[in-house]
Amino acid sequence: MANQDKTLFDNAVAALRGDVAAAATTLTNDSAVRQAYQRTIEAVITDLQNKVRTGTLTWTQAAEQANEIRNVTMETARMRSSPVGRALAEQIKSKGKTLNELVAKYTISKFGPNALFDKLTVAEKEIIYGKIVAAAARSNPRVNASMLRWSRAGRGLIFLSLAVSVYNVATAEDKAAAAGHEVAVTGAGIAGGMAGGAIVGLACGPGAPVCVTIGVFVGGAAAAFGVDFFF
Amino acid sequence: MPAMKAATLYRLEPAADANGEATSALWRGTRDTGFFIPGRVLEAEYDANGLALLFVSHDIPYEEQLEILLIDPQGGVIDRATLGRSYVSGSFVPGAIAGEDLVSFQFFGDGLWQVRLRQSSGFAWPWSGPAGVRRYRAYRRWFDVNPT
Repeated sequence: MANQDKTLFDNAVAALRGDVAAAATTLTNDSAVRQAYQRTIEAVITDLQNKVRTGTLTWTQAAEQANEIRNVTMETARMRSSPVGRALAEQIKSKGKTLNELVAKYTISKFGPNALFDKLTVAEKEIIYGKIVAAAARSNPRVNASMLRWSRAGRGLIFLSLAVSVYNVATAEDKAAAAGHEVAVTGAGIAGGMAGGAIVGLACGPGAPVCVTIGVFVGGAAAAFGVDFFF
Repeated sequence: MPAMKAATLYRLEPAADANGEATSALWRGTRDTGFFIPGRVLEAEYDANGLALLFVSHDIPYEEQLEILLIDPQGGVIDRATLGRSYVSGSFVPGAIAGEDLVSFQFFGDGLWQVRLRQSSGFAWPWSGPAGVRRYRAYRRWFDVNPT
C-alpha cells in the first residue's frame, strides 16, 4: 500500500514537473522571440537610414521598405511565438496603418491640421518619410517590459526544475539511471506542452489563449506522467 | 447622467518617459495642469459635466497602444483603460457620441467600440473586461469599454 501511494505521489510530482518545464519553455521562448524582434527592427531601420544618408536609397524608398519589412517582421514574430503567445496575438484583429495613412498622420502632426502632403516641398516630404522610417523602429515598451519580466520568471522556473533534477540525481543510488529519468521527464514535459498547445489550438481555432494554455498544461503533465510511469 | 460633448480644452507636451512608457504633461489651454498622463498624441477629447474623457495614443504605429483616460481637472487621472497587445496594432478613428454617456470609436480591426461613462464610480471585478483591454483599478470603475 505504501509503495502504491509512493508511486502515485511520484507520478503526480512528475506531472507537476512537466508543467513547470512547459511553462518555463513558453516564457523563455516568447521573451527570446521578443528580444529578437526588437533587435531586428532596430537593426533593419538603422540600416535603411544609413542607406538614405549614403545616397543608396531615397526617403520614399526607405519608408516603403520600412513599412513592408515591419509588417513581415511582426508576422514572423507571431509565428515564432509559443502556442500561447500566438493565440494571445491572434485573439485580437490587428489594424495597422497603411503607408498612405502614416503619410497623412505625420503630415498633419508636423505641419498642422490643414496641411496636404501633395502641397509640401520635397524637403518637407522627406521629413515626413523620415518620421515614418523612425516610427518603424519603435516597439511597444510596455510589451517589452512585460516580456522581460516573463523571461525572468521563465529562468526562475528553469532553475527550480534543474535544482529538483540535481537533487534527485544526487540522492539516487543509480545516478546514471536517475539522470536519464530526469532528462526524459523534463523533455517530455516540454515536448508535451508544446504539442498539447498546438493540438488544442487547432481544435479551438485561432485566438483562444485560455484553451491553448489548458492544452499546454494538460499536454506537459500528461507527457511527463506517461514517461515517468513507463520509465 | 453625464452630458457628453466633443471638446478641445486640453493639449499634450512631451515629457520624460516613465517606466519606459511615453508620458506627456497635460496642459489646459495655456496652463500646465501639473498632471502627467501616459501617451503622446491626443486623438480625441470629450467633456462630460466637467470631467474630460481623453483618447491618447503612443505614436507606435506598428504596435499602437490607446489610452482612454477620465480626467478630473482637480485630481488628475481618475480612471484608465489601455488597449494594446503584443504584435497587434490598432488605428484610432473617433466615432459618434451615441448618447449622453456613450461615445464610440474604432481601434482594433474594423469593429466599433464604446466607452460608457457611469453615473458614479462603481464596483467591477478585477481582470474583467474584453480581450486586449487592461484596467488599472481592481474593483472600482468610472467607465466601461466594450466592443459593440
